[in-house]
Amino acid sequence: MGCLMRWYKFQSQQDFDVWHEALKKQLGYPLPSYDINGNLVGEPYTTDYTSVVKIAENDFRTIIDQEYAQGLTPCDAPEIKDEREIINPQS
Amino acid sequence: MNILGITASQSGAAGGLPVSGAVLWLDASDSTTFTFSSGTRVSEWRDKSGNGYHFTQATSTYQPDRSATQNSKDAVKMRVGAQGYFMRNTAVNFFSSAFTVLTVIQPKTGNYTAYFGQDSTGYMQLGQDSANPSVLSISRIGQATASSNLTLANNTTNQITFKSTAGVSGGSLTVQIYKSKTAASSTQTLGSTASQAVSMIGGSISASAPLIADVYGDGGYLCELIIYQSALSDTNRELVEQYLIDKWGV
Repeated sequence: MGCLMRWYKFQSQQDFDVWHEALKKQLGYPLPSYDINGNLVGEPYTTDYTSVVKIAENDFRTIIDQEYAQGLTPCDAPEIKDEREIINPQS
Repeated sequence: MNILGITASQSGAAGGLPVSGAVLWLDASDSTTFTFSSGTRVSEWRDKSGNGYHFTQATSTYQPDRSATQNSKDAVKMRVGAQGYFMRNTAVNFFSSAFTVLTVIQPKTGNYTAYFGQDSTGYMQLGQDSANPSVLSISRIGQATASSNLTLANNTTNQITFKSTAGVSGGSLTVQIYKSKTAASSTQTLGSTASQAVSMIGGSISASAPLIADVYGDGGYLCELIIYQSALSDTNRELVEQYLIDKWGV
């Protein structure tokens, strides 16, 4: 925590899945769950490190801590789609 | 007093809220309602209403941080850097009938901010106008927005209420927005609306609509969120609003 988060690009879902599964194994996922006092509780709720967004064919993007980004290709964040009609616009 | 099935009491109803009958109660100040994956990173935020509508996030990079402070109480940050932090519940559709959503939040007005909503293009969310983020509004995600005359200043904590007498009905949703007990000058209505049993606090990312709802802004945070599955009377609404205002020092 506290690391800089950045977006990175993969060529395919399979490329992302292979990289993600290797990282999860390295980091010990699924992560255990703790209460406010640091005591282990219940089932592990945290099953994945990150997820991927498909932008286009050959363009799959994910956001991760930079410390895990060795060998990955940085890219821009996906653009926010804003295809709205405005009702009651404020002047 | 009993109005619309909701019992009001100045001395406090069971569970600590001044009006009983809440269907969802997320209280960031109550440390016993959180489960963490590490440090202050939240994997589950449990509902105090008794209905079990807990909000969860199983993916580390989307988990919010319980690391903000408001009026000497802990609050939940929903954004760090470029990341969309959010939590989700898939048990109930809170917009399917009349509702009152009351919250205390410190948003960042430079961001497209959703306080509470659903998670797909064409579904509803309550928060700020993406084109003019200082304005309180309701939105049909990615498609339309209806803005009120109520505005927010950056870096301020606010008590905001959204009330609907019918929920999404006949493809339409009409909402009255309040800021610290003051009503917007008119109701806001959106047509062609749908609703579903997927609710979220914060933002979301999907393949079809990346960042369909952004989060509380870099450094913004959520203090408390209470939902009644009814349109509270003005008396009862103001009781809960005053409880939130006093508790969080708004």
